[in-house]
Amino acid sequence: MNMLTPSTQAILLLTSYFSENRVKNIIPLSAEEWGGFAQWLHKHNLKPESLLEEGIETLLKDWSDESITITRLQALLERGGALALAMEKWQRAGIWVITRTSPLYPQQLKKRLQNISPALLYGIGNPKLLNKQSLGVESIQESSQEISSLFWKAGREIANDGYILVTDEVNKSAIKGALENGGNSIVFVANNLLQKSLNGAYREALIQNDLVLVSSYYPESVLSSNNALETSRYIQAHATSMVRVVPKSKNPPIQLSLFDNDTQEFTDLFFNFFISQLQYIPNDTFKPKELEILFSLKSSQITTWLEEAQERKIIKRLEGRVKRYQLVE
Amino acid sequence: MTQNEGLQLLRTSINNLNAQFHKDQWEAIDALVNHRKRMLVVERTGWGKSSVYFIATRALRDKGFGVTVIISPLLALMRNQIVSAERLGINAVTINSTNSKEWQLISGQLLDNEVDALLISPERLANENFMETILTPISDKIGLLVVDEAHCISDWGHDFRPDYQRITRILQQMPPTIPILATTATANNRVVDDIERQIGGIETIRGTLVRDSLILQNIKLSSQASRLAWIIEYINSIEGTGIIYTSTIRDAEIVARWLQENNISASAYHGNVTHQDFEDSNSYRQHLEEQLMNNQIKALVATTALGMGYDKPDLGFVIHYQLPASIVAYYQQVGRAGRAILEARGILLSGYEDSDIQAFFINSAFPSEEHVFEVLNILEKSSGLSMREIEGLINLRYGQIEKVLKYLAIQSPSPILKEKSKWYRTPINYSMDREKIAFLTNQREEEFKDIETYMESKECLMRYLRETLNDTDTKECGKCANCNPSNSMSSSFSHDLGIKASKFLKHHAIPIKVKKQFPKDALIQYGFKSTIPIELRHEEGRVLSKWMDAGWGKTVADNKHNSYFDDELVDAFVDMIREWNPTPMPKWITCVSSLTHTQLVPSFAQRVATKMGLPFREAIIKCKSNQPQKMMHNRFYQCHNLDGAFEIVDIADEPVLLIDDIIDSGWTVAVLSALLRQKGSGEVFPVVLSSTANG
Ligand SMILES: [Zn+2]
Repeated sequence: MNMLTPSTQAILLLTSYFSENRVKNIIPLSAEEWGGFAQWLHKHNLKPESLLEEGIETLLKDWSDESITITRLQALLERGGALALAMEKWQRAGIWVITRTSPLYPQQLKKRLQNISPALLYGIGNPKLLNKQSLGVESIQESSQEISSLFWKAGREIANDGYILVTDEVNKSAIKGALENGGNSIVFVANNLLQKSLNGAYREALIQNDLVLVSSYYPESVLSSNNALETSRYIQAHATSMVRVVPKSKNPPIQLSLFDNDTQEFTDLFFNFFISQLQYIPNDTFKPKELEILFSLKSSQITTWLEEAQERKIIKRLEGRVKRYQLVE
Repeated sequence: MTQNEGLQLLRTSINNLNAQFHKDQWEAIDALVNHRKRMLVVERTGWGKSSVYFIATRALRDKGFGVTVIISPLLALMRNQIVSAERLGINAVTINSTNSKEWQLISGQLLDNEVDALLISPERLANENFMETILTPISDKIGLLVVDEAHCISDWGHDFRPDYQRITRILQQMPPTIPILATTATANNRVVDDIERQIGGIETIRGTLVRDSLILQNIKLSSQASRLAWIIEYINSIEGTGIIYTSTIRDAEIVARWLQENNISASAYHGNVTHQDFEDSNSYRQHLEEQLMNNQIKALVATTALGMGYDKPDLGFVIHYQLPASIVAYYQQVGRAGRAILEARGILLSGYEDSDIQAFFINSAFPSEEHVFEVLNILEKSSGLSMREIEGLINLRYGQIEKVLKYLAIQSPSPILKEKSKWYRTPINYSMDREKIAFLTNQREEEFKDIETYMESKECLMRYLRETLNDTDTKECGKCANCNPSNSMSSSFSHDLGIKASKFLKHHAIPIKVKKQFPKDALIQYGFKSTIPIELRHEEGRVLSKWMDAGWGKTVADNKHNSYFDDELVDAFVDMIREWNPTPMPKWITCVSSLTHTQLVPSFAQRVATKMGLPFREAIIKCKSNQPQKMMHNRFYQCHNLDGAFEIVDIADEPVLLIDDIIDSGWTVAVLSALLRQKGSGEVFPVVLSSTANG
């Protein structure tokens, strides 16, 4: 069993809930609040664990913030009993927790989200997957057999290409596709990690270290819409690129689309089959700069970009790969 | 808080203006309250650990800290503790299974911050409902955590209590913001070192074990009859009231009954003990504890279930009917005697069955790997199962399944998790820690060897105990049976008492309880539903002996091996029935039939019938060869195995004795009785020669 370091204990106390049954007016710091406070601590040569010692009034005499008051911090830090009871239960169920300073923490989230990257990640399964390059699949509900099957193929292709699928729990077929074809997957869970970890469908892959379930919310949390939104943000931040499946009423019935990580919009790529496969192209095909450009483009700009790309002979490399991603008939 | 303020609180709490702190008491309070430290306090019973945590609680509450949580195996705070807490204005409450009706009220008080100290047993922590509704809501603000009997934290502690593994892990995750007080009366250096290693940052205060008033003596009396006789011969010559420890529940019952038959007020006390006037076992046990506390009975005959830390200052004697598991366990039990009186007796009796009993305990301490994987396998294929559902899916005894679940559930990480009464398989790659099991088993064997050696010792017995416990003070006591033989009691007893005791052991019929329910869907061919209608149930029955026991059990086993039950068993059996005198008196006799041993039981039943002058009818025909019932390990399989196996012919419409040789789970007699009654017989009274260990 992992003994928590005092630093992790302090961060847990300041940023996490431990149970639904709790004192209602004690509210942990948000990722953003914690980010700011942690910076302040660092600037004043204080470590989070210093807050576990006596006399935080003295330690924090130069701190002032309307929302993060000393009283609030003290009430949070007093919850040591709740922390110990909860962590004992969660660890017994195989759940671990990592902070931003852990080498296991996904660096991609830190880099892209900075101050609003989650202060803590709870997880179960193989934490080493968190720092591998991932391709994201995120979607609407799997409403039809057709979509499910498409997702399954997407998972398979990602696995075949040696990438890790990062997704949420909705895309069960994609997860299956990846796992059944020898791949690995990271699944961001919006709530109740503990209960979901008991789902038989995940068990074997979790035991075999092929899967990791992660959540920025405490493992027994119930759903709030906020959780779901943030989870989707974390998937986007983690993924090197994203795939969305958009059902169409006409032929072809389904089209793969690239989701723009920065504008939070679809970059609906009408350039037929060829372009619709772009998102599956692992980024070693591109130089990082090229990728960035690609993902920030609006659809109107794509034509121009492609012309330029052709000039730079990127298209040649693309053509070679596209044949391998025959996802859409 | 200053020392002087602390002293004022001490004086208030024990209502004595001149009281002074015992050695180390103030040091412990100071460390907890003023420095919020973690303390391990190794002090003898009676040193005053409750003063330490109540004074600390008062001080911390005054500073605005949250409730003190005390985890202790005791069922309730001792009366004197509650009084001293009240004097400090401390509202101390306890939550256990005896007061579940008050939980909601107490929970409300806890949430309103009106409770200062909450006392719970270690087992509570395994109760999901309690954890979720009571402990978790208040855990946002715990001021002080007290863990009693802290030696259980260590694997080297003599009694390995699974619930303490959980406590240990909770302590390990506890941030340094919460002061912790761990207390024990018995811990040798190895245990202290281990606790210090496991609970980071804990400091130890250690006192001396001295117990000047205790006169120790060891007496070897091989047969149980001789020990029973000895106790009756001498118990009234020992002043005061006390405890007689036995190694098994059954022996606690037998010894208590023997004492009662000899007009000595005594009661059995063990984990399963119940009484019709009390709602459950806990409330009855609490009543028994109080009876002894108030000297209303001469003795409690108890297993180790008699709460550790049971604190009665004037306990006059502790007699061990059998050897306990280890020297540390022995010291802890015998050390309860003579705290506040001038003289007390600690008598260690030992007999032939000791090593068998301990070997059984040691070997059955952990579930077998086979059982573990059977249970895991079932859970893997499911999406959550209740205990009853598991029972229907695997052929293991309820107790065996429970043992597996209990063992697995306290592992961390654990391959199983209980959520809302269902067990789930967690995604944890699990293999049994064979090394640890071997280590613990070996250690227990060594510990038992040590107490066998102590039993034979010719040295000062008190010094022997103290040295084993690494006490600093190891001078000769001058009063034990070895130091001062004139203090010792004789090991002889009257011949008549010896004969009476051995007769008593042979007349110890065990009741067969009435079964009211069959497992669901187990008896489809017979068409029996789950609830057994009253008119199909059997009456309470009798068993002559426990398989291999000191009464008739050994004879039954030997005779069964030779395929013939001797006439001395017929005589004993008929005596038992006459003594019991069931009403309405049975008018005919029948027996369970078998396809493999066709004559064994019928021949016996026939001779019983002849002796009693009743007709014998072979009313039951075995019509299907099934698996031996002893291969069926839980209620579902045991019943299911009987479905359609018997047919009833030739009955009389009058009360009947239903005879069998061995009773295990009791389903055979329950099913046969229902069939007999269905066919029109009168009341059915099952009578059996012997019951097996699980019966
Ligand atoms: Zn001595």
